This record gives sequence, structure tokens and C-alpha cells, in this order.
Amino acid sequence: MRTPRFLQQGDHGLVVEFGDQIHPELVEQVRTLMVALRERPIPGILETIPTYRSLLVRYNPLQIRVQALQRHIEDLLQQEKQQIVPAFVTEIPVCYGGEWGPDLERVAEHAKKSIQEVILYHTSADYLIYMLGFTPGFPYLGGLPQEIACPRLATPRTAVPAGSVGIAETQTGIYPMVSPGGWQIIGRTPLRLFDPSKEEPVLLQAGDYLRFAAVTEEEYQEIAEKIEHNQYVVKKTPKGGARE
Amino acid sequence: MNHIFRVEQAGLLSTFQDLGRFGYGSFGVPAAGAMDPYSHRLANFMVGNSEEEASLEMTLLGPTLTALGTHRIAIAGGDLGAQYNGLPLPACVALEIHEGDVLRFPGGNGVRSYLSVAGGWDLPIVMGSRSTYLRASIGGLEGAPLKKGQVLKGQKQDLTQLPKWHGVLPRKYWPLDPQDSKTIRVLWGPQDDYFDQEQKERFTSQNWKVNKDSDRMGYRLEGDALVHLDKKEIVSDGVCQGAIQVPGHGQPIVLLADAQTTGGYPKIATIVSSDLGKFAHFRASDIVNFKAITYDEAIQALEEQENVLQEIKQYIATQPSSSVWYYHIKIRGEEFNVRVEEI
Repeated sequence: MRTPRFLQQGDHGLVVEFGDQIHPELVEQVRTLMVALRERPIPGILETIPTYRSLLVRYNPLQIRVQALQRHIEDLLQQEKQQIVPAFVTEIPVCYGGEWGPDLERVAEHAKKSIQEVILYHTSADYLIYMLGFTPGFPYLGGLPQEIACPRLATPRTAVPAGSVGIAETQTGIYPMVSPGGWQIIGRTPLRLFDPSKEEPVLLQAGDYLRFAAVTEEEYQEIAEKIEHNQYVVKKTPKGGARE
Repeated sequence: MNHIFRVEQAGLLSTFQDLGRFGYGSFGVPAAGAMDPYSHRLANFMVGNSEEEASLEMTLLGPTLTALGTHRIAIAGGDLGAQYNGLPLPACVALEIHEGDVLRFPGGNGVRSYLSVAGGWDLPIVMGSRSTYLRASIGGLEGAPLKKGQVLKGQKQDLTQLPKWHGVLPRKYWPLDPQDSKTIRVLWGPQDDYFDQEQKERFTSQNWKVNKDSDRMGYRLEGDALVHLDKKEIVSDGVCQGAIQVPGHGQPIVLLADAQTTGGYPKIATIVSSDLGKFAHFRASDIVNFKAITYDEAIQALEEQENVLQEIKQYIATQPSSSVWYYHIKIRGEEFNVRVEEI
């Protein structure tokens, strides 16, 4: 692992910068450090914020000083050199088209593909979750097949329903909560990406992967029903495991 | 009875806040929390609470509240023109209220003030905190600002052990007024290398004006635009409260309690912890200037502030319990502090 740059953000933040590009390898390094800090915490750390290329450590300066914090992180990086923390792939069931995905036809037209082909492309990839942000639980995903890239809507919607799956240029993403948005909406998942009443309120984690799986309207309703009654188990498999 | 107040008028923006919701930043959930943690802690200490309890953060025009029983409360922060049954109250005061009493905050020279109740406000803990985060509608009272008709409840607690003191907090302990000192201390970075020396001097030497588009997410500043050395954007990285980002147009934005967890603009400097609370009392059109200090100086300033807070805690704990009332009144333009004692 390359030695990162340490940058102070005020007297209560330390940025551990692994690079300045959007690259899966950097995400891997960020995630490894984040997991190491979670497993070997040091008093004074409030939380960590992973991004494409850096990990921000927010700390309480009355409990720990930046010098001691940096030393701890350097120690962890030394020890974690050979360790690889396995990533997981979360399956996101999506009902494509119709009222769930009002822009699917437009995306197909733009790509000069059939609707079926767009769905196949969209469900064919494992998407790396670079980071979460914008709204709680919103995943920034890498890996959308170029064939189905599509510009944003000319006029953004004022309210995109929670669970909406969209495409904007070469990005794809999921809206965890009702929010305004200009992405082309191609489908919707019944999964709750952000549920503050849960012990683990956010479904996804930076550094992991997700893949979309097409479901019918009936299956969508079934899953939604199960989620309502806390009976649905989200499908999560180690990355590299066999696809169904 | 643990019913404390009924909300008669909601005011502009009042939300319950504590010291923040930490641990969910990696999922894109901002910490939120009191914009001025110093005044928040004062308000709690003044009624004998732990600093972990929530307080009601009131902005510019506070609510009108009717007391539903006998309770001890405290107000701390900027001057929102607080009135108790029509009598003006000082900005930092603890008092006992009785059923039917009316508390108003019609507006004054200040921006934010914090209202606490002995024993703490009764609010659900959502993801480890009682702080309201408006954009996700979580925390506080129904995840939203105060609404007319709501009843504010207190926790059912044994209050006999809490200090009985009420009165005006000595002036030296009040939060600093931006009118008295316009200087906010910062540490350079993390991306000050996106600017040359001349631009960094421009940042610290000029009077920045607070724009009216300033809220719990961030404060926009106006002045002579800062010019980036080369690139105007960075690959997004994490942001702390107090980080000062400079978008392409060169007018800085100070990121605050409700800001998104990541950002794509270079951050020229970051406000030090001890001055974050003070900055929260600046209002639109106020002038602010920044002074760069060292890490050690920042830590020293924070420790000094911490010592003052411990001193205040001590002061309150050792004051005799009394039935003394303090009023600050104006008669024909002259101001008086009036002390009323039960006999």
C-alpha cells in the first residue's frame, strides 16, 4: 500500500488521502483503513467518512491530538498491508419500467436498444459503491455499461419516490428517500436504503458492491410486503462468489 | 406532570439539538447538532443537566410558549428579545416558571438561543442522538421544526438532586457577540495549496460579508473573489463542520452542522473548534474576518473554553438555592437590573 498523505482539516478532522483520482484501487485502500479503524478503534475518534480517494477521520481534540491519531493510523496501515478485507455484493431487486420506471423507454430510445436490452445491461454489472452521500444512504456507483448511458432530464422532478433507480450520464444510483432529482428513472426497488428506525439504518456501505436483479410487479409487491413485516432477508454474498 | 410548554406560535425555525449524531457520517448522514455547542452546554448546565441532553435551538424569531406547570428552565445564547410574562429577560438566565406563564422570543440582536428544561426534554433517541436533521426528517420532535399546538414534554426524572439556583448568568460567561469581535480563527487547509500566497492573504485580510442565504447547512460569504491557482474542483472528499470551501466563483462557503458529508470544492481553511459556536451567532450582512493560527494555539483556545465551562458548572453548583428573581428593564430609555426577593 502506498503511503497516504495526511492533511489536517481544522483541529478536529484528519484527512488520510490515498490519491486524487476516482479509481477502484483507491476505494479498496480507503475501505481497508476504515474497517481497520473500526476493529481497532482509539478513544477520541467520532466517526470516519470514506470517499473515492480519502478517509476523513473526525475526532475530539480534547481526547486525542492529531499527532497521536496519525501515529495510530500509520501503525494500522503497516499491519494491514497484507490483509484484504472481503467486500460484499448486495442484490437490489428492481421492477423496471411502467409506473416504477417512467423514463425507461426514453433511455432505450437514446441508447437505440430495446427495453429488454437496457434491463439486461443494467443487471449485468457489479457496481462498486464508491461512497454514500447527497442524502443519507445515497450510493455513488461506478461501472454503468457505457451502452445505456443517458443525459439527465431537461427539467428535474420536484419529488422522486424513495427506491427509484436512475441513470444520469455514466452514473446509476438509487434514491433512498423522496427528494428532488433530474436522473432518468428506469425502475424502483422495494428495499429501504435508509430506515432510521433500524439498528443498522443504512443498507449499503462504501467499498462494497451491488447488483440489480429484475423482478416482476408481483414479486415487487411480495418483497414489499415481507419488508413491511420484517421478514425479508436482503441477499448479500461475498464478492467473487458465484452468480446465481 | 411532565408537560412543560404548549406552543402558541412556532416562530421562524426552532429545532431540538444535542451535541450531534456521530457514527453515521460514512452513510452520508451529517452530524447536525447545536450550531453553538457552547451556548447549548450553558443552557444545560444552568438547570443542572448533563450536556448530552437536548436543548431547543431557536433562530431569530423564537416561539411563544405557555407553561403547563412549575418547572425550571434556562435560556442561553444570542439575544432573541426574550420576554417572561411581558418582562424582558437577559440573554442568559435560569428561572422557575409556573402554569400559565408566557415565554416569548420576538427577536433581538442575536441569531440563535438555546432553551433547556431541568431533567431534559423528552424526545426519542434516533440513531444515537436527539438532534433534528431536517433534510432526512429525523430526530428532535417528529423530525421537524416546532409547530403551533405541540406540547413540549420533559423527561420524568428525580430533580431533587439538581441545583436550585436561578438567576442571571454573570456577563463574563455569556457567548461572545459578533458585534464585539468579528475575528474567527482558522487553521489553513486541507486544500490551501490550491491558492497562492497572495490569495491566502486576500482571504485573511479582507472583511467578508455574511450573505442572506445562510442557514444550518452553511454560510455564504461575499467579498473580493478568491482566485484558484489552477483547478477549481477536487475529487470529492469528506468535510468537517467549519470547513471553508471555495467554489469556482471564488466566494467562500462555510460548511456547518447540517452540511453534506462530502464536497467537491477546495477547502482553503477550517474554523477551529473553539470558534465554531461564536460563528453561529453571525447574521446576514455581518462582517467577519479570519485569522490563521497554529494547531497548538487552536488546542489551547479550546482548552481555555473548556475550563470556563467547567468553572460555570462549578459556579452553578455552589450558588445557594433561592427565590430571587432578576429582571432587566428599561424605563424611559434607561436600563435597570431589578432583583425581586420573596419575603
